[in-house]
Amino acid sequence: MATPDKSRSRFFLIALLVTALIIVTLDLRGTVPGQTFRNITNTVLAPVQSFFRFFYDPVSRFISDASNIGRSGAKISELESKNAALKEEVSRLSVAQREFEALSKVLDLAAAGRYESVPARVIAAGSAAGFSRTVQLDVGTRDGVNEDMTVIAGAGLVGRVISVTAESAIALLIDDETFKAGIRMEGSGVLGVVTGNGNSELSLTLFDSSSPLKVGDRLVARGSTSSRPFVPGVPIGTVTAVNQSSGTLTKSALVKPFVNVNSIEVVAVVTGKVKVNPRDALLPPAPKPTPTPTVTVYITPTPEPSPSSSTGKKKAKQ
Amino acid sequence: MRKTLFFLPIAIISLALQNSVIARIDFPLADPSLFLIVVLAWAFLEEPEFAALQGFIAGLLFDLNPLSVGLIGHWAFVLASVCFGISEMGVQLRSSRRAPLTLTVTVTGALLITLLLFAVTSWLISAEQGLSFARTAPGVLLWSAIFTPLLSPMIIRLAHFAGGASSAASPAGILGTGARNG
Repeated sequence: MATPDKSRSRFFLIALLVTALIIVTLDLRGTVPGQTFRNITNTVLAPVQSFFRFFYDPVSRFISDASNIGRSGAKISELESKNAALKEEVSRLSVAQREFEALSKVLDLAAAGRYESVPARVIAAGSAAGFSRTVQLDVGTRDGVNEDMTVIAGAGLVGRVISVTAESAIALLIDDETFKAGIRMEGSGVLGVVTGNGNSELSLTLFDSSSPLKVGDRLVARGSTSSRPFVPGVPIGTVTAVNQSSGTLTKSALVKPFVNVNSIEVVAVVTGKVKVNPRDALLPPAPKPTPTPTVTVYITPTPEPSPSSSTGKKKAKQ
Repeated sequence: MRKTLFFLPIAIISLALQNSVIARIDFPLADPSLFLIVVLAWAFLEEPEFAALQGFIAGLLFDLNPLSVGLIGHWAFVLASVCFGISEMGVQLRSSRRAPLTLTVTVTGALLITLLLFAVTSWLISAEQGLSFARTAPGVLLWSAIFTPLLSPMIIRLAHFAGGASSAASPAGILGTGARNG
């Protein structure tokens, strides 16, 4: 029915769509203070979210506890036998423990003065359908957190802070499609850029196509001017696949990040400037390559007058 | 108008629930979008004119969600058009509009169109978002097919309550409360 009703509602729809497009255009031009509006929404959403969290947190704890309930009976006898074995091991490990303590003190000392940071908890996350990989942290300007600060977890880079209020901050995760970070390859120091893909792997582009790049190579953050948004030396990930196409000016690869951003709960925001670039020091110890059998054969030369065979030993690898 | 006033707190609550609970559970494939399900289901039960307005408001809310990084107005554009469309479809279906199966199929279909429209418009304005559409969509749609029937009794009841008893009897009732004649 082509009544005036229908044409009126169509006209209304078109008016709304045009309004939306005007807003998009204004935001593209940067004339809309988007962050201010988002902070206002945050103020509205925050109390409702903390209300839900209040109920959700005990539930999530209960679920993890409940998964252990059925097993308690059988576990007691199992634990008793394990306990005896462990007591034996404790005495053996006490020597190693002392060594470990000494080592960790050294590492703590090395870490001190490098990254000044505040610990934070993840309190909300962006949805997959919204196409934004972000998390909300429970620290804000009152904890010294500001925009463009590096967010790290135990294993490496998590992302960067994109907006901040007094009590909370939003961090853009490393796997968001808009995420970009300058990187440096471990060892060689070749520079490049990683970008998020929206999935568990990042894209790596090296500026120098002639530089060697292979699976298993690791990369760290290059660091930005004044340590913002990225402090140097934060481990990022390991190369999992190299794009072999030749004839391009750059070289690309896929990188698996050290941190699984889907399951992060506790992170730290680096608040201070970094005075000394730690280079590759923060990377975990390199995985030991599987040893290839090497046979060394020593040949005692038979006494011969020829001067060429008087080298003494000959080493041959198979 | 009464329904639009009801819709705003519902949208805010579902977005807050989405941010603080749903997104933090590690769902397989992709996390369900409670917010979009609620918005689309609500629009399906609404008259086209108001559905478009509510879609626009919901989209703007999603754009201004502190956790989103895209352009402001993008979701408003997408949701206003999809909500108008799904509501037009609802008007055509008339009596079977409130059946949970109809709601599930329509909402999941509309969700696919929403994600598709977002990805395409994103590509048109070369925003770097929505590229993960192919990876995200199957999970989001699967969860929608599971969640919509679970949520539908609540949404239908709320919509019924918000519309008032008179509007439930005839679809023109809601509009009849406005300034225009039906």
